[in-house]
Amino acid sequence: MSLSTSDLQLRAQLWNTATDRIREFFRSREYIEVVTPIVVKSPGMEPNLSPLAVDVHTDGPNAHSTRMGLITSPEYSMKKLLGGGMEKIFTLAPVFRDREMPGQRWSIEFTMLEWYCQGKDYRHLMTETGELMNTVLGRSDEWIRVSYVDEFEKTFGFVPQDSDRERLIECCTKFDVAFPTNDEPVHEIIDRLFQAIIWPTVVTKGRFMLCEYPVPCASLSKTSEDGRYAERFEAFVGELEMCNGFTELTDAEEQRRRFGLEGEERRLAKKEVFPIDEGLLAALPSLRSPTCGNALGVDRLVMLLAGANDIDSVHLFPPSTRY
Amino acid sequence: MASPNDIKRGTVINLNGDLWVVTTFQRVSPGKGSSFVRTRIKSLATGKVVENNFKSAETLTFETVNNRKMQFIYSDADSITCMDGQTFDQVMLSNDMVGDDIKFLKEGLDVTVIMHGDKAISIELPLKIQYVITETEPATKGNTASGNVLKDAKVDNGMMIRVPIFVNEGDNVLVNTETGDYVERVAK
Repeated sequence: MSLSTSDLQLRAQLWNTATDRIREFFRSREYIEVVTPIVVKSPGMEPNLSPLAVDVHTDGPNAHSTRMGLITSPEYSMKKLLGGGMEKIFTLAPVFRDREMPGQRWSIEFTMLEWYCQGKDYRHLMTETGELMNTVLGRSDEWIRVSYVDEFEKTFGFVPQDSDRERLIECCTKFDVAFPTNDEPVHEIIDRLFQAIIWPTVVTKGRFMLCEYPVPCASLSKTSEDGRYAERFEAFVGELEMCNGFTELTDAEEQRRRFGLEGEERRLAKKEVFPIDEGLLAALPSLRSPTCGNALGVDRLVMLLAGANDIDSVHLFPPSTRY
Repeated sequence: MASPNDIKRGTVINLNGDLWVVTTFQRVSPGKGSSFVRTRIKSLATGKVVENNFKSAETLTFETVNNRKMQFIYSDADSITCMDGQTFDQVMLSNDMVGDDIKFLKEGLDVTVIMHGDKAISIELPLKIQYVITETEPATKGNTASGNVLKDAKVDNGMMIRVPIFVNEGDNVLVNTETGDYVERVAK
């Protein structure tokens, strides 16, 4: 070990403090901590993520090998537990995302806090997320809410939908935003416009929750009743993204359709396409509507607790020296 | 052809024939959404600075630049001067070319000067630089449980940093030049 003993002890202590406070927070709210598998057959479909693939070999009379992957998030297993009737659950799980750009906020392996609550929606979840972060950090910050679709409408004059590709490309030309290629997915073009034109003013708000995403950027979230936005939010501390929370999509048909689109996007990007998790789709109809869930990066929470800007500064085994 | 993931400070990008030097960059990899690199780039022709985001999947054209190992020797009100220790050639860079990195400089520091033709356009610092703590409050009895683990400290070039409470005056510490973070205490 090259780190001094004082540095090692301090870092270990920071993680202890953070995880103790997380567990106390959820237990006091009657959440149950669960353990979910790390090696699974369907490690995630998001087109932008690259699961680490592994071949697993079982021995014995039925010896066989199976193509599996390390989870990019414990989400699918968590939702199966909700389908099994559990109401309020949380987990602290190691997750893995291959092909991430190395950097001061990213690591291939990191720790995810995920929690789910049946009967509540994303608005409840935003409040709870702010309270959790304040508890862990020992602060009493106000978390401002910024509506993505409202900001988009203010700037560009409309709320974007899947059918707005032409309009969005026109906006890119008008606002001098670098040229999307013709086959770029609609959600990517929306993101380009948002990042280039709206983000620079939003980011000055300090601690904030960016919520109500355009429907094409819904990911695994439910669409609002009026179809205007997806019930999704992310919390930010300046530029640092802390979490992704949703009112969860519980419509298995719609989920299958989105998995299909994502699989297609993965194929086009020449990424490995893992099988759709049928167990997850079977569980979804048993979820109450609404059900909310959030995934929060614990390493970044520890960075905030330590006042660090670099993920290396809070690890006993700094990620930049591992790979 | 190059990828936005290869962008560094001082990279010169050719955008439709115009040359832009990267002054700051930040890789962004959202939890749900594709990654991109957020940059501030400065026109080599006009000096104009703009913000630009490059999606990781894009391809870019980089201009060839040369790296020269030099030493920082001094700074004045609006520029810094570096010298090649072998040839004693000196180059000058305006402060805005160096940006926030100015605060990390100390006399004799080895830096990489990025040259486009015979013009110095940027410098690259070592990822970690060693400093000596010249001023800091003595450790108060640790209140690490509440998360108050850092305190202010001044280092030998006058820069202020945040260090863990166990660090004392006279200690040698490493500082990360990308983030300004304390990295670790090192043996003297």
